[in-house]
Amino acid sequence: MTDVTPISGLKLSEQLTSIWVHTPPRMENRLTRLCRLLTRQQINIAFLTSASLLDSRPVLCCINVNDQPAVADLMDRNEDLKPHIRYGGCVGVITFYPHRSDLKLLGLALQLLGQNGIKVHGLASSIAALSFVVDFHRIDDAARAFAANLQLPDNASPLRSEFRIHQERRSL
Amino acid sequence: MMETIAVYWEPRIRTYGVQLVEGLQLFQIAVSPVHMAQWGQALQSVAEDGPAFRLVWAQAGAPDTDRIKFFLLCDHGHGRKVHDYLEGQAERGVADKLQHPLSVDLLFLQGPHYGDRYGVLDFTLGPLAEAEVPLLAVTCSVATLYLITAAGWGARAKTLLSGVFEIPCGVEA
Repeated sequence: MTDVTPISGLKLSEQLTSIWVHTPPRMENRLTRLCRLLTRQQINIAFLTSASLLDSRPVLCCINVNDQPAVADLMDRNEDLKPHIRYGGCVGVITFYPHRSDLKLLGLALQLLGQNGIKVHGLASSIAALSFVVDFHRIDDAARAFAANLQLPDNASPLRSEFRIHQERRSL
Repeated sequence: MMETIAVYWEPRIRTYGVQLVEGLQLFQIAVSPVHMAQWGQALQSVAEDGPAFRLVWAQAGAPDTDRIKFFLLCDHGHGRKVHDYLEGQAERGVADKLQHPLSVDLLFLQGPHYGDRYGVLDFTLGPLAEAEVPLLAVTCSVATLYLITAAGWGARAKTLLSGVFEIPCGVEA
């Protein structure tokens, strides 16, 4: 790797919990139900991928680790979802941008993570960014690998969330 | 850590628009974690001449395998090259057998603080479930929601979502 690919930024999420939800072929019902329950508890979904109509893999849903007790209690009381929920470990989402819809950048990121033995639980692109779900205790290693091989702007460093945005229900 | 509290009260959630791209090709291929570095190198070599992707995501977690499944959404113009390339990787043992590509429609939407607010995905899925739109896949990453429907369903999904979200004047729905 002789050419260093420039990126504009690198962001590390706060600590998250991964939730795996096994869904039947009609995935809309279970995924929809999960989303409705999380909404009622005012729990944000930090990251989600689901392809249940295409594949047997479960829904991957990442929430803030502080929300896990509330979610676990919620799922325990839901007979439909309870047997199909599995909790993964603590994870984090590492994101860099822009991806320029470039498979080369995706490939480089995967190569770096693979070479460093960092497991990828999930990944997804968005408008300009590529995000990878990794074990939270390895997120700094992932950041170092990316920072060493991707060109960040001068004086830039991986950005961690300094503040959290809460959405509260308005009381009338 | 400083905490910022944002209060939203929206009878209809606002979005910057619902974008639709029809007739894309969806490729699916599984990779073992032990081959991830090799797979990453292989993706870099195909990227020398393009192709670009519209959306890419990957999932682990299948109950009976450690494979990570990659889903790659490309324009038809890039499809042939991507198909041939992925087949080549499967033949080399870097990836599992390539599944037959699917023709799909892609919708995506983003809005204020989508990555930090609860309820946006719930709000999105509701009307689609009610209308029984076949949603093949969903991803939520950063501040964007992506929905993949079976080919030919995207326009219907867009109409439904444009009817429930609030879209600023001057923005094409």
